[in-house]
Amino acid sequence: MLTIYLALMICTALPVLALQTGLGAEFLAWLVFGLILVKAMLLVDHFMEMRHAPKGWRFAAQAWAPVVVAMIAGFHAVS
Amino acid sequence: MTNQSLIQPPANRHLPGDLAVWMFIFAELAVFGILFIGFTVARSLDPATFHAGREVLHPWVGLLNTIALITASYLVATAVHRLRHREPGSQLRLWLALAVSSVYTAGKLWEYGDLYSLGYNLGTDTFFMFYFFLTFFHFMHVVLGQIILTVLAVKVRRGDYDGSDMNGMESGASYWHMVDLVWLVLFPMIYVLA
Repeated sequence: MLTIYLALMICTALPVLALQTGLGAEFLAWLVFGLILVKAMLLVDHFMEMRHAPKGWRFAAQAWAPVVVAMIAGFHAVS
Repeated sequence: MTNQSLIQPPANRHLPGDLAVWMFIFAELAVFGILFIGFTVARSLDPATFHAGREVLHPWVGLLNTIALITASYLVATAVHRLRHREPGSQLRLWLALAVSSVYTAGKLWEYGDLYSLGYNLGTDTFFMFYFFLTFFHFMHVVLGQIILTVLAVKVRRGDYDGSDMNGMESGASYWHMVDLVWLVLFPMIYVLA
């Protein structure tokens, strides 16, 4: 559980640190999209304990972040 | 190692918490998802306004809030684990989670006050309309989560939860993690991407 917590912390700090270093906006955006997915998977599976849930429920909980991020990334790519 | 030992039998799988709470959680996630998509569409129509709006925000306060919510989620997850295994420390972890999550509520209130004193409000522009609406909607969920954590901690102290029936504890914890999950998308979307 502590490993998951530390991984979530690192994933959270990365985009803000990247923002401060003045990385390219496009790279930063895709980094953020990727990290959101990683964090959501970790949180849902380990903190929410959905890895022990029936497959359908687990899939539904895991799918929320990818669906939302795909929509956001889609609009981001178009604009 | 056989395939059977790699795949958990369906009989061992169980939804953490009450079915009704999970229906509520998915309804909430759907509402937040629609609002996030609305934010993204509005941003794609007027990126300059959203970029200017983000410049006014305090990303370090947002980062601190995120750290507070993730830490609280970690404490709640370990509290559930300890109660399930009848280990001491569950109640303490719930109170700690409540205390740590208060950093979020204090940080958010400070940011609202600061922005309001600078003249920003719901009517300033599209970015601030979404900022105040989305973050305050989430803020109200955090406050409800804090009330739930308090109830859980009191029930653990009174001995209402002894680890034999985890339904109430798991339901409350699942709601709290949902609030955290929403913030994990909301924070970078507003403070970084906008």
